[in-house]
Amino acid sequence: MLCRDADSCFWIGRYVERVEATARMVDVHYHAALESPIPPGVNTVEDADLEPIRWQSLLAISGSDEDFYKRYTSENDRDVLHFFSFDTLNPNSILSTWKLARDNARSIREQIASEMWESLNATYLSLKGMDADQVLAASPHEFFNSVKNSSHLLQGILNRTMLMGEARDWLDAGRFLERACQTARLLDVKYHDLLPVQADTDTFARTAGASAYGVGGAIDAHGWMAVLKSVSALEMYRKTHRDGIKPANVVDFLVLCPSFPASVKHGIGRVEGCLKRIRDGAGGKTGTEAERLIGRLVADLTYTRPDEIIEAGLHEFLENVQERCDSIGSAIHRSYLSY
Amino acid sequence: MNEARLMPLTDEDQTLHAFRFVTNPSAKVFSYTLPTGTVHHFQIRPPHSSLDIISESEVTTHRHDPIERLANCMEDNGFYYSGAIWSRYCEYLMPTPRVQLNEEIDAIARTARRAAYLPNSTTAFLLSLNTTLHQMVAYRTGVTDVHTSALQVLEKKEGVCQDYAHLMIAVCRQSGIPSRYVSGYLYNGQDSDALKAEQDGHESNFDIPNLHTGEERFGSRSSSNLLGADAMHAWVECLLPDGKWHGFDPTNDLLTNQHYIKVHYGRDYADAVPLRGMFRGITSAPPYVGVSVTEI
Amino acid sequence: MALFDRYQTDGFYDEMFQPDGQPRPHYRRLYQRIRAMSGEDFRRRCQLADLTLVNQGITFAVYGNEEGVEKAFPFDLIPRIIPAEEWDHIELGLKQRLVALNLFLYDVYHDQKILNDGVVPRELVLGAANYRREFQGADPPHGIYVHICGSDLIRDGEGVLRVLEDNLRTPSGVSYVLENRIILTRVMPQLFRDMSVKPVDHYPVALLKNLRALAPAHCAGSEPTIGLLTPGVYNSAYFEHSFLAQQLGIQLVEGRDLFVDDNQVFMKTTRGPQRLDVIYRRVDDDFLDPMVFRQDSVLGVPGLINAYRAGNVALANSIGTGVADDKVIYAYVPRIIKYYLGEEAIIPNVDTFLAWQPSDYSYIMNNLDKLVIKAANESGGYGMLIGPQSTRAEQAEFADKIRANPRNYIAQPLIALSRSPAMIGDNFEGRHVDLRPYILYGVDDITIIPGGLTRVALRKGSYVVNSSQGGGSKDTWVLPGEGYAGNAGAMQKADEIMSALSLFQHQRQEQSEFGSISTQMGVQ
Repeated sequence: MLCRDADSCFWIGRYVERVEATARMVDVHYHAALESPIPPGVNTVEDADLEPIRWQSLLAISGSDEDFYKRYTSENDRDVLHFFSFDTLNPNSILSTWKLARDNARSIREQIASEMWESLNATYLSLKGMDADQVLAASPHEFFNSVKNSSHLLQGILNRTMLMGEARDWLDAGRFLERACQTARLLDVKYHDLLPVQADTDTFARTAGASAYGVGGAIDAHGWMAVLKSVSALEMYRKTHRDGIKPANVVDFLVLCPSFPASVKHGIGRVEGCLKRIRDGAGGKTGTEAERLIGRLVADLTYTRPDEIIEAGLHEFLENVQERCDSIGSAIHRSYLSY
Repeated sequence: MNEARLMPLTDEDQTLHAFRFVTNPSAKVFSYTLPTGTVHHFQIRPPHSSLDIISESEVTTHRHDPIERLANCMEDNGFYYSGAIWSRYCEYLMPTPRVQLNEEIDAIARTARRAAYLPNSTTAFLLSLNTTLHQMVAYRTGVTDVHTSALQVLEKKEGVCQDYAHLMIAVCRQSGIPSRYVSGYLYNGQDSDALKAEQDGHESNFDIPNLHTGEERFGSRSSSNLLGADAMHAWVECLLPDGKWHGFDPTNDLLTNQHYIKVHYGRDYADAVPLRGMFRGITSAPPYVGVSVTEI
Repeated sequence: MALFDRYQTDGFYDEMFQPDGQPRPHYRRLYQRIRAMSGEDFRRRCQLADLTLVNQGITFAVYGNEEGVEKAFPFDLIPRIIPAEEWDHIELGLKQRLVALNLFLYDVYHDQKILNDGVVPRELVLGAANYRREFQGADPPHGIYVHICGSDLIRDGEGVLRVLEDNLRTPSGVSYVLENRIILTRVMPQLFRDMSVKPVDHYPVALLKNLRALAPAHCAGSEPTIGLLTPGVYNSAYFEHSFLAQQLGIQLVEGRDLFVDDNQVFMKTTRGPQRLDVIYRRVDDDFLDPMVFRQDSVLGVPGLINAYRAGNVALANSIGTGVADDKVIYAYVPRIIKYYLGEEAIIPNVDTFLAWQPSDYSYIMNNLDKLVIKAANESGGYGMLIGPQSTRAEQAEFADKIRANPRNYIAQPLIALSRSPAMIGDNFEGRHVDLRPYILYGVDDITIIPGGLTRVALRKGSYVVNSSQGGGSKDTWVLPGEGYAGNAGAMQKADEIMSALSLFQHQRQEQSEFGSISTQMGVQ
């Protein structure tokens, strides 16, 4: 397969997954805030009265708070929604990211099933025709749901139509690498939100780790549920962990569980599988830097216990995982996609 | 990726006995032959910090006395008025990006014509033009580059061999005399080196007027110091009424003789670029160029 | 009110209607079928077709327009019909023309006999912007220069078909021929019933066969790796490049995917370099190889031309073919045909005045308001003045341009191009059309797919049919000769066609998947 085509597939996978992650996060944050007695990230009732929905933590997760405040004065619902959904100046908005996926697909139309292109193109055209006011007036949840569905539709088409071959493996590799990154990042930032403000930032993870077992209040459970919900994990979590929502269990489920499709472990494991298949074809490259990095991360995720992570500091652990995901991304580029 | 036009031609005036073309780092060298000369090309993909190109030729020149030859064509006999000249040699009569024709070019033609020792003789006109240009333009390196056109040379009144050649070609074509650009080596009786600058950072193209180290061997007497002999030289060939191409070197106000070794010819410099290439990356030093021609 | 009731031919030659308002014989059946439809039904089908175009992204890029980078090429549903006898004549004429032009190209890059004999002035050829001096003496495989040609035909006011220009470099538009047929069979299947319209879907097969036949000697009978070289996703014809690569099952490559090593061309694949043997290139000469042509080109592959010259890779079309579709050389094509083949041109040219000839020069300068002025090397409807539709200022601007560079301009009388009905708003109106058939010059034979691309100038009164200038297209039908249509077995034949068409659509679906298969095989 041409390097450029493989690169495009890889990034289509990443971008579509990124769109889905953005839609999930904004959706859950928005609705959690509406339902919550005290919104996430708000620590006193007085604060909550001043601002119905606090968007700062969301802007922080997406790493775009700086960009946002450059162009908007306050984080009102409409502006935030516009920023995350339709702002073409925000490279991470749903529209911008989807456009990138679509442009990549356009450059490799002959490599992918025509239904895939048509689906990407149709979603792009419909996103282009919407605006934040419309979405607020109708139903934000409906909107985010339709974005999620577009991503699922695309994956369905991919599964149904794409040949079991290299192009598909690159699409999957991009998708699962992105998903692992996004889950790690979401957990990291959300966990930070849930910490009591008085926690010393240098030692917050340890404190949180220790105190989290003891914390069982409504706000806390509500926050953890929002985390699980944002990756569609709540129902599955309840099936595997029947003893309620505990931080160590949530970490276990979202980071280490090999069978949950949005867990870090599952994502990285899938990337490993893709590269293995790519390698197994005749003439494939073996022993690449990318494979080495992935193998090591898989091993770490397989043989680490959740309580060890919390002991050592969840934030440090998740930050390390995110860095390693980035390195894996660059190593894949160097090893396969550009030379 | 590099293309070299460095191999001397074999024609009635000179015979090429041996040619060696090597590079360091080494590369597989390919070549093809055009009616105007031979092109060598090669490519070095692995990263390298320097590139040496060495070409060595062994040539015998057997030229007659140029003055004697010109004596046979002092009369025009209406040669240039025939429509056949235009239709056969139009390539060497049409302007090019470096050889543009205008009024000023015409003015030089008039000056040279007045100074010619015979009226109505193209050969005498060309001899006079050769001298006129030699006196008009000062030889100076570094003021012009490979893209400089004849009109720009006219403005600056200074330049190097290819600038003299382009200007002379412009005047000839303006006057309806087919003329072509020749690149080659010039023997000046001693070994010497020259440095020509043409450089850039980051992924650039380069056209080097000359990049040549090595030796030219040929049977001939030594001669005085000549301009252009320490790098690759360029001169002009004009079609005279005997139906043959004759060489003029306006840089040195000479007719080409046994010291001139012809390598490639064309409509202008662009057809005879000695070395053209592309590289990716950053270069700190300008290409170093040296030509040495030795009598053996 | 029935469709066509208000239709006027306005004194133009109309492809569908006779001057008395009656449909021409070969259009009669189509006319009745369309008349039987309600306006609403017809418009609904138009919308369906438009939707298909937009959703499939069948678009082209418009230059000089930042915002609307992609545009759908409007598709008008009324087919243009060419009767069998006329098609036979066209086919013969196009073959004659392409054979002569290939001989001409071989000659001007080798012995130059035609120049030595003074049939075509040497300075016109050697001075043409697209003459590639660097390529003199090089031998393209099988001596073929033009493998894919698209010649533009127009019909004048008297009904005579003429060649308006030849496109011998990288002619585009064939994807619309194939897509138009698919869409029309989907949205108006009833039109095809009983018509025996000649199919066009063998174009990719014939093209692939020709490309495979160009495999360099080193392939020695094994399957060559073939690529379609595109300038990239921002090129106006990108949709077509990608469509054809998919239809042919070949690799779509950009310059940056390729490199030359050891005088051979390689693709960068995830499993290391893979050798490329044949390139169907849709990149102009100028941008093909920065070593040889434009040094500022980033689209090209350094060293490609040398690899081609050495016979290590095949290119279609070859280098330097543009000299033969130069608009000044065009005027000499009838003489070129006569010189090489000893025959008169079967399809005549449009009368052409050459500004570089003193006698024509003054005529042109005195009649700028009556003539069409064209630059010798522009295409896509750019660099053109339509005298009768121009302002004084525009004429003055062209006068200056011609004065500065007479070699670069030609003039032709304004031909009243024939018209064909097109759906404009809610009614049919006459619009000017041309025809671009696609000719494939293979090692053994010449293939022309029946019909070609009918382009239609959708702007009222406009003569410019180019997609970049508000043009649209039509499906083009060639009907079989006597003894096919209208005989006893006609109904059965129609059913066969219909089932063949649905089979074709089915196959097309499979082909798109097959495209991926062959890619996978390509890299093993």
